[in-house]
Amino acid sequence: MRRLFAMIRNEFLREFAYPLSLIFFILLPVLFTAAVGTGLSGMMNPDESDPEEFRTRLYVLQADSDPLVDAFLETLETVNLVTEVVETLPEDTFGLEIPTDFSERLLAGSAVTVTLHTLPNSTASQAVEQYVRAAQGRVGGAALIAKLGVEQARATGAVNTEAEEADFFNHVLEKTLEDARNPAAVAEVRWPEGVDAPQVERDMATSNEQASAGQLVTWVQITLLGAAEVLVNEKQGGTLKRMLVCPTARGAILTGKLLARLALGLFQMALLLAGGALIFGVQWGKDPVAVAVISLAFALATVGLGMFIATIVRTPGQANSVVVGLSMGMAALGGAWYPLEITPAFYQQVVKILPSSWAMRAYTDLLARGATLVDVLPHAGILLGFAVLFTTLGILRFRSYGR
Amino acid sequence: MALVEVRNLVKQYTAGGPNAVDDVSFEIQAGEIFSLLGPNGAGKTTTISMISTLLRPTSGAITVNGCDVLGDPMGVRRSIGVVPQDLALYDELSARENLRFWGEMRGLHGDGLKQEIDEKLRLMDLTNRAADRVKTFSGGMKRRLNLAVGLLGNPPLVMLDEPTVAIDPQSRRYILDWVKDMNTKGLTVLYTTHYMEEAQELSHRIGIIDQGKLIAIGALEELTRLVGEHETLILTLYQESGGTQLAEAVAGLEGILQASAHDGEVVLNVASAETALPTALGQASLLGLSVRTIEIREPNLETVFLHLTGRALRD
Repeated sequence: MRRLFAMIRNEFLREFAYPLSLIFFILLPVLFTAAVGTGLSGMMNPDESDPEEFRTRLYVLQADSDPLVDAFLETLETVNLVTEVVETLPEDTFGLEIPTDFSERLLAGSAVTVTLHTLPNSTASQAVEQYVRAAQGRVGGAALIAKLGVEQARATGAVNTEAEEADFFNHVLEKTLEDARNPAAVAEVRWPEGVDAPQVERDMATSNEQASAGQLVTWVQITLLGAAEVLVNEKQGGTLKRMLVCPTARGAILTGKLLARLALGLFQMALLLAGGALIFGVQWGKDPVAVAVISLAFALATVGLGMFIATIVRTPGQANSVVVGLSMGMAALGGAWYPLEITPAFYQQVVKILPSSWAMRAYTDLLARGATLVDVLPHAGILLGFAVLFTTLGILRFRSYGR
Repeated sequence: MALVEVRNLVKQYTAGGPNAVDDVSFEIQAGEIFSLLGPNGAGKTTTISMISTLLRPTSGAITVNGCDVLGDPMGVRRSIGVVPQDLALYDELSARENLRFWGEMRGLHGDGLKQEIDEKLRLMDLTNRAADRVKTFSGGMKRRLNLAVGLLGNPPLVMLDEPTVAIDPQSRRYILDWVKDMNTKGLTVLYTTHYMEEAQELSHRIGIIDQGKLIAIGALEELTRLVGEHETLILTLYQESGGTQLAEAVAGLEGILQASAHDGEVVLNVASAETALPTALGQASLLGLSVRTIEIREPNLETVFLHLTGRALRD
């Protein structure tokens, strides 16, 4: 056991012998998380108040302009759309046709039909439809309130002329819509003690969630596959031979090297999980044990692969090329750089051969879909299967290593 | 009982390929300095690797301190310290951190480890550089630290594999003196080298190995006796390229038993230098070669190697 601790301490001392290594260990992963998170935000955060260029543009064709139509367009802007009034709707864009009797029917309390042109293959179509319905409901409700207000004012003699009635109507309409945007009071929902509030499930993680999980997988993979480089360097530098003539069993040496790299990878994971939560506000699901299990299983699979690679490559240069190439390739293909959900079903099936894709599936389920330990146990099982396979192959080859 | 017993040792790296070590047998007694002397590629490192359990013998038997290398490899490893030919240290760590790690790998810990680290640093004159990173050390200092690591745990046998290759004369002298000093304190040493002078200076007994075979073994006097009452005549030529030509020309002439050439030097194993010298000089003159220096030596390991293999040790 002392020898194992010695090997783990040795790995940490060597990894952090120079402050520069901290840049690759923690600083770059955090910076990349921020950059990737920002880059993905336009695609993945429909509910967030993002810069205008990331919001969906809706072209509007309106027959005429009046206070209710104007209020409708303003309300569309407040529900995460950017509107642009045009005379002809462009093709292959989101478009909205507002009929000439829009205000008249709304004030009469009748159903108004607006025509929404959507893009059949766009994931945003459903969201745009929801935004239009929401805006229409808000404006319709506000118009009815304003209309009732005018009737009351007229009955009490507060307004007498048509001009006063119109002013009064516009004032109440505007005030009602404003209050709807900034309610004076909101209802808070509390669940009985002992009952967990159901988590809102989403199809995809948010941009920060995707970036945090993806960059964690990417950078930790580099650290853990780096086991190959470490072992080949030790072989080349003669320290592995020296270890093999110490009174320590070969199996213990391999285990020690595995555990040392694993400890380093888990330490980096812990830092990036904490960084994701503290810097990017990511809530790593509702089940911390599930996050820990998936992280450990992924780390075991990757460090096992690193050890296996070490027994195949011959020089540090080869090891470095394989580690960087595999890390980047597996991260990119496995959904660490973009959500797997946007890829074709066939692709999603093919990348199941990569441990990274299972880790990303599990993290996305935990982050976006409220998954628990039970839900991600199959993912963990498959990752552990990878770990057993790679480690066994590594041990078999290591037994004859150098003999 | 011998501390090391090697019996009919064979190592074949590929099935059906040549034997890197071919039927080698020897013993090393406790308290002895035993050198394996041979040119590069002779099989010295392969032999030492099998004794240290790093390589598995193809056939034959090795016991160290009563432990069989195949049956009880851990017992063997506990009994040996190995100083490899290449520096096996962590450059990015300090001398103390290196000693601590390797000490722990040998099962040392606590105060015992701390005391031993201090002792080894003192022994190698590295105490005031203990906290410095190894990468800032000179080549000689690294060699000394490499030796110190091999001594951790005070094993009864230390194996040094060509420890003086590519170092400055001062560090080389330090290492040779250190080996002798440690031996006087009871340490048994297995030393491999291709430098005849080192084997001659250090060893109680020497095994000469060539092309995987142990061709002679014994104390220096025993080995030189193999050559008989011969002398070694060394001619240095002005024309470096003419050495081989002269060696071929004189080989077989009366009184010249063997001849070889290396870097403009012609080494002749002769019955009598007095009678062979005129013959050799005459042949040089016939070939248009000019002799710069003439040296007559008593038989030494170089002569022994030449006598046994027909080649100079440096060939």
